[in-house]
Amino acid sequence: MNLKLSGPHIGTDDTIEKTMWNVVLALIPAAAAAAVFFGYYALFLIFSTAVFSALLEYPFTKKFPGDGSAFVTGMLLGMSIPADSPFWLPLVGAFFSIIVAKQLFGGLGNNIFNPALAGRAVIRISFASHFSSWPAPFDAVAGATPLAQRAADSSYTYLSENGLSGLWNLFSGNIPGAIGETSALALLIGAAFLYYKGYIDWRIPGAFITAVIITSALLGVNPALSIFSGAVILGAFFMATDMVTSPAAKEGRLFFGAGCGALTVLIRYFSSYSGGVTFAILTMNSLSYLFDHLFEGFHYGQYQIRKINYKIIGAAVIAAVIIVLFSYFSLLIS
Amino acid sequence: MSDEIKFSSMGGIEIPPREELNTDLQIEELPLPEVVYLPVKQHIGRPGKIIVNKGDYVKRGQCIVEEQEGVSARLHASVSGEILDIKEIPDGMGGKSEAIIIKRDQNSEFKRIDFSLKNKKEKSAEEIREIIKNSGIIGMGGAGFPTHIKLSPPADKPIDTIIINGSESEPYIAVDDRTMQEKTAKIFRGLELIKKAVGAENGFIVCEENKKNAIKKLAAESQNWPELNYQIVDSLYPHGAEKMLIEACLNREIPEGELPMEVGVIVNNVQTAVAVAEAVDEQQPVVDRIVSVSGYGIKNPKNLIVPLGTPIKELIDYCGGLVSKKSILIIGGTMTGFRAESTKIPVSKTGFGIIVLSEAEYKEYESRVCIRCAKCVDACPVYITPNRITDFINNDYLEEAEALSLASCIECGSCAYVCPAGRPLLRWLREGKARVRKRNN
Ligand code: SF4
Ligand code: SF4
Repeated sequence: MNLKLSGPHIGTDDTIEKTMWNVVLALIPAAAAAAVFFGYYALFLIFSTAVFSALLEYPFTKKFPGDGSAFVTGMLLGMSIPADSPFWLPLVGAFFSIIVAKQLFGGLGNNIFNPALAGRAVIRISFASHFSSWPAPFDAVAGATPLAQRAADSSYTYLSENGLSGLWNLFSGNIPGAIGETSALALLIGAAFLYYKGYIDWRIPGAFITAVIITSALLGVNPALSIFSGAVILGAFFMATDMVTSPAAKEGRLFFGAGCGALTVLIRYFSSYSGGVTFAILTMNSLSYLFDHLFEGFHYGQYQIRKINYKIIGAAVIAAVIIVLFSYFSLLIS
Repeated sequence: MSDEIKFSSMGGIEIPPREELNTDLQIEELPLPEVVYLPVKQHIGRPGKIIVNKGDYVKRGQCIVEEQEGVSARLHASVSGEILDIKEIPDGMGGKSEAIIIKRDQNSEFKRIDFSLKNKKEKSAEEIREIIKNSGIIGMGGAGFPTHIKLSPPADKPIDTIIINGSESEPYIAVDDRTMQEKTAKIFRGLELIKKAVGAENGFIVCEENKKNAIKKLAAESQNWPELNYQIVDSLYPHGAEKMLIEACLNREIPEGELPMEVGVIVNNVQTAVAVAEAVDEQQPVVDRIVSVSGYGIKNPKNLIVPLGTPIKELIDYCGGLVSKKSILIIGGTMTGFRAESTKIPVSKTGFGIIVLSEAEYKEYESRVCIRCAKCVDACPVYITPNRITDFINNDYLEEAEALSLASCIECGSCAYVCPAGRPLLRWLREGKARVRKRNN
């Protein structure tokens, strides 16, 4: 047999370029929402970071704008900073994203950590003062994000003070926050497009959101606030789903998403950083190959092993739920 | 049965079937070739023993290769004439194999299209199996496993269901579709005989839901066969493969590394069923087969009935030749088949198609870096992870690849079809399997 002659001889017209530029398309609604809420400077930040990132990759790939992956990274990075950031802030992040987190690891496909998040983590920690106050939409007074308010006074009043319109503001993005994070509506439109095109799978975002809801409920935080304020939507649909840094195995994706969601809420609750999503996803990124290995799932024909395993997993899950509920109620009582 | 469509829950991909090319073309006779090249081994298993010599005169239908002990099959002359030579020729997969070359006697004319069912004869199960063996029938959907062996399961593996598979899922090909439309009665008769040979209670013919005309024919013909049935299934690729059919129709899962008979099922292709009917009722061994010549790179696509051993050049010429010199020639299906290096390669019992792709249709592999998009994982119908397995194979970790169920791969090619990085995953998987075989030998 000469395998050079083997098929398949036909294929989809899908390419890496197409995949990446479709993600760029999917981010356009959120960028548009950012322009509406924060003005054109926000738009400038997003696209200057994107173009700069693509340029940074030129020495490595000798292509501009390249396969689009650097452009996506830049856009995501630009969207995750406050709208009043100095123009150089995201560029510093982009440098770390593209050079350190991506190319030094071997470029697209070989990076362990989501480049956009790695860059964001660096500027978040190095220039913390720029992340302490977030401009509110429509040039209102800059303020803390609803999440940070919660952290400041634990009475956690944003929703009860603002009622239903508060919820709508949360959902549409009319709240203080990073440029591209605030409008859940715009992000979900983009995500729906990606899902329809088959570029993202339901498992990671689904498990992510579910875990956020469950963990929030267990900690007594309003789940709606957890989801729609801060970077959860952006993180669940655009960051955690980054192909290179998330597991490929089906069950691995479920556990990965769930881990991201649970860690996000835990970090927010127990630490002073507002970057719960960033650090949660970066932590899970490091486990992504392990999860590929541990949770590959069962192959066709392994139904006997599958049955036994499902029983064990089921029993473990039920036991865990009972323990958590029990400790939760005993805490409540004490 | 009913017109209810059964769906397989296993992975699968949508491939445009290119129905406009071959589906509505009646099966035609190819003018007889001057010379045929009959590869001695067209089946899976041990090669047979050649029982003729150079210079012998053979008649169409005369046995020229006898089966050996074990898994092996017979071969018959497809034209009458003199044996010119017995030598090695290209086998269509990049290798070489021994073939018997027969020069046709100009006076021998014979008729090949006879789709009516006639002189049904009652036979016992043993007789049917014997006839199948003597007629050289093998899995003609492409697998090539000798049918008489398949129909003799060990006594501790009772078979309750026979499935006749008419759901060829390869795009471009319309061989099974046309056969179901034109030889409907023979398919039912073949199913009846196979059922009897094995002693199964149930038997049905499976057709994909997008073959509307074939379904109509099956529905009409099934009135004449009260004991037999047909079943419609979804048309995702590769749901025409036997594992997926068994899952969709019967909801049974074959244990890893086992054959369908483990779950009481035997699957045969519609071509095989027709061959069984013709062998029993008309004493006709396998000497012809139906081939789809298709693709946008050929001038006039056709469905042809041709004597075995006809060089594909004759089929291509009969179909008007290639559209352009750059057209790409493929033997078998576009998903699982091999690119032909020469037009001298003959049609074999398992060769259901000759596809000529235009340059635009052909997928060039680039082997770019895997972006771990998991499309291949989601596409794989047997739930293995092609990206990881091929990584292991390429780095020579065969044990790891085997632990990830390399053996379960059905070589459908879905993974490579969807890969945005243009990675030739199926080639690598085949390479891995070949290395495992070599190591085990
Ligand atoms: S060729 Fe093998 S690995 Fe690839 S999709 Fe088909 S069964 Fe899965
Ligand atoms: S489809 Fe291709 S790029 Fe995507 S995970 Fe599989 S091998 Fe990698």
